[in-house]
Amino acid sequence: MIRSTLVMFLLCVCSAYALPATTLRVWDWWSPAEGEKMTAYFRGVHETYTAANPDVDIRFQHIPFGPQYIQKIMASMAAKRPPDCLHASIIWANDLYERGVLMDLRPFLERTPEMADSVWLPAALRYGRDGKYIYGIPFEHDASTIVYNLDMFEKAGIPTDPDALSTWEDLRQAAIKLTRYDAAGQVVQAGFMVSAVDLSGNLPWMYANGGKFYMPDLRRTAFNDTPMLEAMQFMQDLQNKDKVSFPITSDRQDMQLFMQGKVAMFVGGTWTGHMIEENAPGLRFRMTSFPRGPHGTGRGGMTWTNMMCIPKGAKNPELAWKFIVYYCGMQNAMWKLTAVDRNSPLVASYDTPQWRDAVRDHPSLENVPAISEVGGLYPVVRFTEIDSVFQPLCQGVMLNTLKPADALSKAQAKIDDILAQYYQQLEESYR
Amino acid sequence: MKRTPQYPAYLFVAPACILILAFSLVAIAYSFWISLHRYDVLALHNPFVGLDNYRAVFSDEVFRLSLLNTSYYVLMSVPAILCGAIALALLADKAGRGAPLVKVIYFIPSMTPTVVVSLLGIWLWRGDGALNQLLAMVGIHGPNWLQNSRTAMPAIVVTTTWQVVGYYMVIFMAGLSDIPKMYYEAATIDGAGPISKFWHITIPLLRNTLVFVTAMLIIGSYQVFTQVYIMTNGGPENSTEVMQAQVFRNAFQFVGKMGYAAAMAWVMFAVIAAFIALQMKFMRSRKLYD
Repeated sequence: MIRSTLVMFLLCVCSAYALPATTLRVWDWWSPAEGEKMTAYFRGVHETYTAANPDVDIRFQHIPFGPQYIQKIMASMAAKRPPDCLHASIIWANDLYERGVLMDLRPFLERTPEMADSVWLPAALRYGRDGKYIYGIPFEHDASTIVYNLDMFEKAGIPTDPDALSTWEDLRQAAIKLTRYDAAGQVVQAGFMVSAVDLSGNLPWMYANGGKFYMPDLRRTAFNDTPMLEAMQFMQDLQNKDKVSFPITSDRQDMQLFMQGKVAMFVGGTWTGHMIEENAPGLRFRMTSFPRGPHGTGRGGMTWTNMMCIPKGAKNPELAWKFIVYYCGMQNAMWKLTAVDRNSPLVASYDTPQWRDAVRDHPSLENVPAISEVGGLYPVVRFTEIDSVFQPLCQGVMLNTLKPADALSKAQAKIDDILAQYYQQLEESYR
Repeated sequence: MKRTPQYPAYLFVAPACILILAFSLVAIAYSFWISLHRYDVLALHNPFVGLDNYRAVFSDEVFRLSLLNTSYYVLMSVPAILCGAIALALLADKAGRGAPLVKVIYFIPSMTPTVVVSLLGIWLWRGDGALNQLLAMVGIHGPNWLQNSRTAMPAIVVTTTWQVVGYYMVIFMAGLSDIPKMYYEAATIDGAGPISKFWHITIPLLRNTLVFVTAMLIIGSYQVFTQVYIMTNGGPENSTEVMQAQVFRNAFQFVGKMGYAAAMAWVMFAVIAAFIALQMKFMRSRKLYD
């Protein structure tokens, strides 16, 4: 009995010594549960990182995107046990920074030339920083896109070049041409899926029409102006006058309908391509930016860059930084491209054999750099709250019960009030 | 006779009392304290703001609308479920050998998760859904029920009623089984018809069950959330936005507004308490058949 206990004790001691010295906890909403490609991606990350850092036990914790993610961050901060680093969406990264959750990464950056500003696309540097305070390192570079079916375009005699539909009127005419109705007048093939029922559904159109969302100080809004008014009117007309879209319903799955061949154009994102390829192999499609509106100067859209951050109070900030350098760096950018066809905010990543191979294998990626380049700013201050103001008003516009001008006036008054209260709260409670 | 204190009994109830105290009573009291502050778990200072949060709640246009919407939902769903459950209970009571089958059929939706029922609801009520396809067979072009401000809430009420009516049917059946048969026999001898028996025997003797069911329904209906969140997410145009959703959004989606959300929750509690008090006053004030 004594001997077996002793053996057990020795085994425990030995196994404890055999374990890696440090555990690195990384939170992410990207998850292997998304599919085989993501599973392979995370397996590759784990293997590569562990091979280079055998003394580190890296543990990804996958948390669903949305309120759960924020609640978990808040709970971990309150319990003083945050992860070592986390994937942060631009939707709430700014709020977390303002509330003192995220560490200033500038001291780390100053000794890491491979992460200097010059290596990133200019659009990526609009996020994750406030003056000299840098709280996020660009990781994924996304943009709103118009995804279109090549076969349907060719059949209808519409040019398939990404810039061929250069104005809103071009898009409208193409959508009308591509729409099919049944005997009762119901849409059976949508030329363009109108999805402008929230802020992110309207903003790419506003930016393509020369509009701005915030005043330069981010403390008041600037969207209640002609570009947004025209954008909302355009969407309302496409839905209700031109009738080129399926009805707006809470469970409408635009990408599913596109993959089923019932939709010629829909609004997706630069990440949409790999999902379509995985679920509808053989479907020929391309992606493009948003055509120019009547007051626009060129094509437009909306571009954003989610980031990797280190929360204040992280147990291993040095180790977390080393991980971020690897995770956001060129080696993983190439692996990300290979495994899940996702582009990177690194400038040099678009001039690599891997990128050229990816474009050859996945032609929809070809236009991604151009789409990202022309996109406007995602609203980063109190996004969820201001979107909750915007959504019902957009619904009113889409259902033809509210005029766009009235919707915008109401939205501006409420959102300016939210921003004023927020900045007052920041002064009183967090500083 | 002198009673000796039963100390071991206190020990047995202590774990339950401590848990209730820690996770219910303390939490409730703490939420009231939070409602008097501009509160965020991450803030350096959580200043005391007195009743400011409550004032803000009452001047919040969306919250006022959500209070109206919720009351509208309660006014539609509580009578619908009560009437449906009593009717089904009476039918099942008369079903004889088929009673167990009737109970099972009507009870199945109650065992189905609300999320699943809500998804079924979407498929039923959407523009090209089952209901409109049935209507189309008789030449009626139905609306997109969940995308219409006037029809969205009634559609949610019907879906919820279908889900929960079986559960309350079982409770009413238990109440019916407690009514002595001799009252009905005596009424039959006196020449009373089925309607007369229902109004003068069944309903009065079901009073305690009715009080319980109505109270539970009012409390539950004022806390409606899941089906609204899934079927319409408060839309279109906030026409189905409910109080519980407002509390959820302010507490967990709009970060840093926990004090405001706590004030909303207390207002919601006050509204429910007021309704229950009214109901108790009207339904329990008279005694019959003493």
